[in-house]
This record gives sequence, structure tokens and C-alpha cells, in this order.
Amino acid sequence: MAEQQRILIVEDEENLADGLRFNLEAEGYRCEVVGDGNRAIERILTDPPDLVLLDVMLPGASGFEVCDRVRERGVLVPILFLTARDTEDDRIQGLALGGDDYMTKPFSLRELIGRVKAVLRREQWYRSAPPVGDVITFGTNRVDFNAFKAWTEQGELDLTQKECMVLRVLVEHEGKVVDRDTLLDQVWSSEHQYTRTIDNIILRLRKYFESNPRKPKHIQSVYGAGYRFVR
Amino acid sequence: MSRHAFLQRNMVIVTLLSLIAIAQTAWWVIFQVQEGRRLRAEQQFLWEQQIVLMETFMEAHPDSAVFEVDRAAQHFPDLLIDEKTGSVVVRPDARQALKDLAYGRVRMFASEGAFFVLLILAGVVYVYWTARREAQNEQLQSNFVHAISHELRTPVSSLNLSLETLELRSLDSEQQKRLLERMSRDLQRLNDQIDYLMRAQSLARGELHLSVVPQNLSVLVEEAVHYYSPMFEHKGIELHADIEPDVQAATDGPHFAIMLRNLIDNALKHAEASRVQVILRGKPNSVHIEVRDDGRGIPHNLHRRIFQRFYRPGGEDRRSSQGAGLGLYLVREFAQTLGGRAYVKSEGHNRGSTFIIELPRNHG
Repeated sequence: MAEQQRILIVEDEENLADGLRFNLEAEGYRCEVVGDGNRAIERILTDPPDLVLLDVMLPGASGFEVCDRVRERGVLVPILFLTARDTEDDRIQGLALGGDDYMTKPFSLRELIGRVKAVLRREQWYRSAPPVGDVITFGTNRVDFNAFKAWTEQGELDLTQKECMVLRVLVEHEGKVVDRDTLLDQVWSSEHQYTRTIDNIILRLRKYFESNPRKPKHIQSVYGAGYRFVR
Repeated sequence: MSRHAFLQRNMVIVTLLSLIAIAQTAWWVIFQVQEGRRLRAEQQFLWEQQIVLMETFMEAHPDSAVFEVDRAAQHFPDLLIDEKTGSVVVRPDARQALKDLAYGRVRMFASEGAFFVLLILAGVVYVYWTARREAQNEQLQSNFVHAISHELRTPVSSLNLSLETLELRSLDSEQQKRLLERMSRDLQRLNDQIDYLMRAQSLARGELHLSVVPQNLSVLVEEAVHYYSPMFEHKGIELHADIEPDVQAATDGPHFAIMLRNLIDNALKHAEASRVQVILRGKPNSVHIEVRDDGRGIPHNLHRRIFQRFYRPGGEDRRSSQGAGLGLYLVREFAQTLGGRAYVKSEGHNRGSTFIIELPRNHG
């Protein structure tokens, strides 16, 4: 339930943090504010919230460092960057480090609330039992969506959360074409236009699961349309 | 290309060029040594031929009068006839002169070469220093762009958020009051940042206009302390004022206020102090303002750097301190423009720091 979900606001600007807290609490979330990067890491690792709203320019450790160190320790809490850093490189860096969404300041409150809900919804979708089962097999491969693990001809592999999410979207639409926008919307955010991120993940998945990644059997490209999963 | 790679590439090019220049200089010296040897060998050969000629002449005319031999010898000024043995030999002073000439040239080129190498090395050091400084400036400017973008966007975001909150939520009067106070603080911050930017720009262009009139600094300092008291109280920091009454000085009021505000604001936000003291003292020809804290202190190597324009500790992503790196720069520049100086004293980590402004009683 939304009212039980906890959001950690990592923001060193008191006014902004107060405003965010007030509005998110009005939406039914429980909020906690931390104004320092190192304290945020400690907080997330000891008691992971349901979502982290993360600024980049912080005292102690930067938001990018926070995200990197949290992901390094295997904590998969959804992270939404909320920062004044607005270049394409910054966005790509934030998402590549494992951020789930990236918003720049100044922002619209309605949009922020919408994105928070979308990130939590995606998280809930992934946590729900997949209709295809927690473990799937295709070809000589086996994937456990819960354990983020795969067993392929190369042996046992650890998958990232995003790799698992992309694969799960494709598997849930087995035999059908899934376009990039749907993948982006389901795994990241509809606002985020960087299809490069999706393409990189598809390349990695093919490297893991295809005996010849140049001629993929399971994760096929449909020119101009998207990708299709075939067992 | 990153700044570091750019600096590295330039240094490789400069080092290569320097090595070529040093090799060329070494070649000149070696060439001159060889030239000296060749010259000596040629002169030696010439003398040997002259000796043979003289000896042939003397053998052909064994009965010649001494004066005839002397006349013949005049054609070969470097030779002389040994009186004891009667043989023709090279004059010792001519040998010495040849030796001096050859070694003199080598010495000249060796010393000129060494001077040239030193010049090249000095050039390399200068180019390296300039490139490094350039890279540091670029880094500072890049930090500044990120910081100023953050400094301007943050209050705008906060104002935006407050407006949307007013629009979306139904607030009671207490909540409305808090929101309006927040908006007022954001506007003040935005206004301050723009003001600092404009003043820094005026300073850079040499267009800073001062309006120096007699001021009661005690009143100005008291006002600043009064303004900041609630903020210190809110953060649980003790603010103590030690203000000598009725300290007069001819200075620019608004610029004095900016300097003071910056120092008190720094102590409030960045010093991590539990106690801050603001001290004003009048001396016969000057006035001293001190903002002393018992906070985290400032390492000695940063005592000058923190007053540089755009300097912010912590790089682009980390914010060890808020601001765009203009506050202390303005404090230093304003103090200098007003005929005084601003500096910091700190014994180091966790030993607090004291920012001091010294201004003349009568500027100009």
C-alpha cells in the first residue's frame, strides 16, 4: 500500500528537502531526510527504504557515489535522481550507475509525484510473481528472476536488476515484438529517451545467452520495430 | 579530450622538443671539439711542412750567413732555430696560442650550450607551469559553472515547489506562514547570488564603484549579528558578539555588509562549529573585524586558496561547501579595494578558524 511506503530524501538544501517531505507525506508516503552522501549510504545499507530521491551535488559523497556504492553492495532499492546536473552525460552516468529515473531541477511537483509512483509501480511489477514463473529455461539457458542468476553454456552468471527486468519484459511478451519505448517505460521511465542504454543491455543479454550473438536465436531484432523473444 | 590528457599530451610534445634542442646543443659542442682537433692537426701538419722547408733550405745553403737564415725564417713566424742544436722547431708560444684557441672555442660553445640548455629547461618549466595553471583555471571554471547552476536552480526549484504546494494543497495558516518564510529565504538567496555575480563581474572589469562615507561600524556589525541570531539559535550554535561601541570608519556600507555577512554565513553553514564569536575592535588607524569559530578548521595549504575566485572544496560532484566560490573572493577583493586586507588563521583540523578583515579608518 502506498501509505506504507518509505522514501529517503537525500538533499542538502533544507528548504527543498522540507518542501519535498511535506508533499510526499501528503501523498501518503513516509519520508526521512538525509543531507549528506555518506550518511545516505549508511542509511540505505542498514535499512533500505522503498525509494531513494537522490541529489547529486552533496556533501560527503556525491549522489553518483551513493548510487554506485549502494548497487555495489547488491542493494536494489529504486533510485530517482533529482538534481541540477542536466547534461546528457550526467543523465547517462546516473542511469548507468543503476539509477531508475533522472529528473532535473527545477521540476514540476506533479511530474515528480508521477515519476515516484511510476518507479514504485515498476518495482512492484518486478517483485510480483512473474506469470511465466520465477525460473525460465530456453535453449541451454536457465534464468532465476528472483536470484538474479543465470546458468548458461558459460557457467553461472550474476545478472543486474535491469538485465533481469528487460529479459522479463521480453519473456512476458514471448513471440511478440516489444518496441524500445515499451521497454524503456517498463524498466526505466517513459521520459528517458536514451535508447543506447537499452541497446547495451540487449547486447549483453545476447552475449550471455546466444551461442552466436551476431545471429541471435532467442533475443531477435525486428528491424525498425524492436525486439522479440523466442525460446 | 580530458584536461589531464591535454596537459599530458602538451608535456610530451614540450619534452620531445626540449630533448631535440638539448641533443642539437650537445652536437654543437661535440662538433666544436672535433673542429678544434682538426684545426690543431692541420696547423701541426703546416708547421711540419714549414720545418721541412726550412731544414731543406738550411741543408741546401750550409754556408749561408746568419742574416740570410733569419730572412728565410721571417716567412715562418711560428718557427725558430734552436741555438743549441741548430734544428728548426715550433715556437712554444705559438703552440700554446693554438692550444688556447682550440680549447677556447670548445669552452665558449660548452658554456653557451649549457646556458642554452638551462634556457630550454627554464622554458619547459614555464610551459609546464602555465599549462598546469591553465588546466587548474579550467577546472575552477567548470566547478563554478556547475556550482552556480546549482546555486541558482536550487532556490528556483524551491520557489517552484512552494508555489505548486500552495496550488495543490490546502494549508492551514501556520503552514502558509512557514511556506512564505521559506519563499522569502529562497528569494533572498537568489537575489544574493545574482548580486555576488554582478559584483564579481564588476571587479573583473575594474568597474567596482565604492561610495566611501563615514560609518558607525559598531551599528553595522550589531545589525548583522542581530539578523543571524535566530539562524544560529535554530542550528544550536552559540553566537557571541564582542563589539567595541561607536567604532567609526570611512568605508562603503553595502560592501562592508556583504563582507561581514559572508563571513558570518560561512561560520553558520560550513564551520561545523558549536560557538562563533564576532569581534569588532577600533585601533588608532584601522579597524579589525574577526569571525572566530571552534569548528573543523582549515588546513594551512588552503589558507590562500579559499579566497580564490571560483574555489570550492570537494570538486564538481561533492559539495563540501555550498556556494559558487565567490563569497570569500569578494571578501578579499572588497577589503583590498577598501584599502585593507582579509585573511584566515587556523591551527588546522578541528581547531577552529578565525577570519579577519582589517580596514583603514579613513580610506583614500
